[in-house]
Amino acid sequence: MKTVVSVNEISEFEIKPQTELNIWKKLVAEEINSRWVNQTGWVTVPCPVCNSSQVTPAFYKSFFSYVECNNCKTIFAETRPSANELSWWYTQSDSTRFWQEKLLKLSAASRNEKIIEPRSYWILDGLSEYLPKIPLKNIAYTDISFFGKGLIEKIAEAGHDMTIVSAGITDGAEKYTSGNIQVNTLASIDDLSPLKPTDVIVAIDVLERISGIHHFMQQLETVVNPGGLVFATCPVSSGFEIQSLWDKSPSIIPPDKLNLPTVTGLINLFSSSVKWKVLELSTPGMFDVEVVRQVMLQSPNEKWPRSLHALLDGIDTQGMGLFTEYLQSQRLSSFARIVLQKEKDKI
Amino acid sequence: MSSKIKAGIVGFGYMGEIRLRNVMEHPDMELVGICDPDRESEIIAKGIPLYKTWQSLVDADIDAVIICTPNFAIPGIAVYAMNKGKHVFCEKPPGRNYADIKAIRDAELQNPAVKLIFGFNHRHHPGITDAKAIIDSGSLGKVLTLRGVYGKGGGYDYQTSWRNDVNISGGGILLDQGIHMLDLFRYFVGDFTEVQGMRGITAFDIEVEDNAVVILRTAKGQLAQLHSSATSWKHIFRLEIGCEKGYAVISGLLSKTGSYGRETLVIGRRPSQNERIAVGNPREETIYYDHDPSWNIEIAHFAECILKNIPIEKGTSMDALKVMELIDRVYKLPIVHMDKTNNDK
Repeated sequence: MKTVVSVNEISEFEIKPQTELNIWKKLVAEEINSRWVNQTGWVTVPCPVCNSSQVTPAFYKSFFSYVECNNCKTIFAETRPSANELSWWYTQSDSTRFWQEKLLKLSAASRNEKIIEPRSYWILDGLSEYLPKIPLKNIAYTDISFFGKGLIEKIAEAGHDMTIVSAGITDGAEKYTSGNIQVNTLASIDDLSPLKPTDVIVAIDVLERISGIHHFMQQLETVVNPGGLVFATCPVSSGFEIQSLWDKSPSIIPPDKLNLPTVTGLINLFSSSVKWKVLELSTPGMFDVEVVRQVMLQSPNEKWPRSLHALLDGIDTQGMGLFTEYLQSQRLSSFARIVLQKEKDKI
Repeated sequence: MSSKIKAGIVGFGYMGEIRLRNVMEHPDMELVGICDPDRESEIIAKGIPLYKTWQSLVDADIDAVIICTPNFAIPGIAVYAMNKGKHVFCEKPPGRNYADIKAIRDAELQNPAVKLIFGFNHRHHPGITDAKAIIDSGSLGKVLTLRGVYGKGGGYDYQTSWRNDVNISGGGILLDQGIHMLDLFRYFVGDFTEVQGMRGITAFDIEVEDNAVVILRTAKGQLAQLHSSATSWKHIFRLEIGCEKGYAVISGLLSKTGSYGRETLVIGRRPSQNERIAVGNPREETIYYDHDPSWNIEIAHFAECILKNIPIEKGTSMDALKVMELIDRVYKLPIVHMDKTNNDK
């Protein structure tokens, strides 16, 4: 299994402009308050990674109670809106529309250069490495990501003769210029049954929003062809930012981040099935050190652990880069990327 | 042939032990016995049938022989085995010199039914296989340059090693270790038409080189340079591949002792497709590896080719011949002792 370190000169504000990010957070809070304050119809779920019901309360955030799985240490919102409610949120809420129509567009150039292009290399290089004898035109490629249009178009540019299906629930209304992209939008991210068999599934920002990652993996066993690949990303609670800031982590914003697995929990989940081989599990997150430092600066009266002060108070740019590199090399950043391969004897 | 490949191992040193493990772990291979007159008690202690001579092992009921001996013995055993219809796995280097590999290759051509493979295991290291896949995909553009450093610290008893006895080994660090890097150069860009080299004896009281520098050029004009050293003190493996749209750097090597450092592959890309001049600090991704499958992959490739009767693809006799040609050209140049008589730096 590989670990990837990816240090880039990038700040979080480049891809999340602060003013717009604050407006979006306000919209999220207002919308939760108006729609879900009574938690009517909410459901209780077991651990989304290991299915255990043995949990310990972790923290409360924006009407959501997060618990920690006693078994695999996943942090998750144990009680949450129903799948239908979440689908509505992810496709029709004002905050989602604002994210899609304002925030993503404002930061498009920076996202394209620093997030989408590297991500396209990750996927295209992965296809070369793991499906070396299969020409792109013979690969069936399906993207179920949230807000996946930019990446889909980038992949289509490189693989212009590859059949690409855009199935992400947020991208149903997107217009594509490339002729090799077909739109087949899922109604719910928890139900992959409408998908045709595919050689590649790309699931960016999906695992944190679904009802159960173990259930998701079972569905993928049907959808992904033998030898096929899954490229996925996910925030992880075992990372430096979340472990340091816990409930004060600005990255945990429900209902976008309902599941926060640990690296160990994910490895155990993927390794427990003979159907899947973990080709890569890395934490190339670049913002942990910056985010922790910013939160500490913004809350100087908070009683932060002395070790955090020792690590971050006097840190310079080079030190932040080195620290980030260290965290990534030890899988201790709070953003994970994963490549899985289904048993490959038939492809 | 029975459903399993019956194999014998000649030579039970460091490589012989690795190959024993590979054979035992392969589901389609079984070990018949081992021959190594210097390590008979170890072989017996493991409960493995001992063969007193390599001829008796090759003549036994085996399908394949794995040769892990010092260099001088390789051609005699390989040629004998192939003439007896046995498949042959040879560790590198493929003999002491070009004449040795030529003799082995001639025997292979006279025995087209046998499979002959050479143990250039570095091709199967994960950093190398990933770099090769990425470069072959074209995403970094064409390869322009290669720069390799492969070095080790010879140690205080280095001069007593058989590897530095020219009659046994045929050469020094270039033949022993640098050969892997030259093989990798060929793996990435193919054949070289121009070769220049220098070799020297700088630190040890030996008759073969403890340092060599080789520069090479392909017919297309791709440039390569190698420094092969026994005086690195800290073990080092580093291969930099410069390409039109970026670069790949493989450094460190997964090994039993970990002395070459953690194996990594760095992929860097030019910041902009339209940027013609290199900018100093492009985005890089570093891939860390934690498992070395190279030895098992080689044996698995050997077994698969035997069982399916398909040609060897990696580590062919042609690969061995071509790389020995390069070394032979460097070895035609004089070896120079470093002058240590004055006190200047």
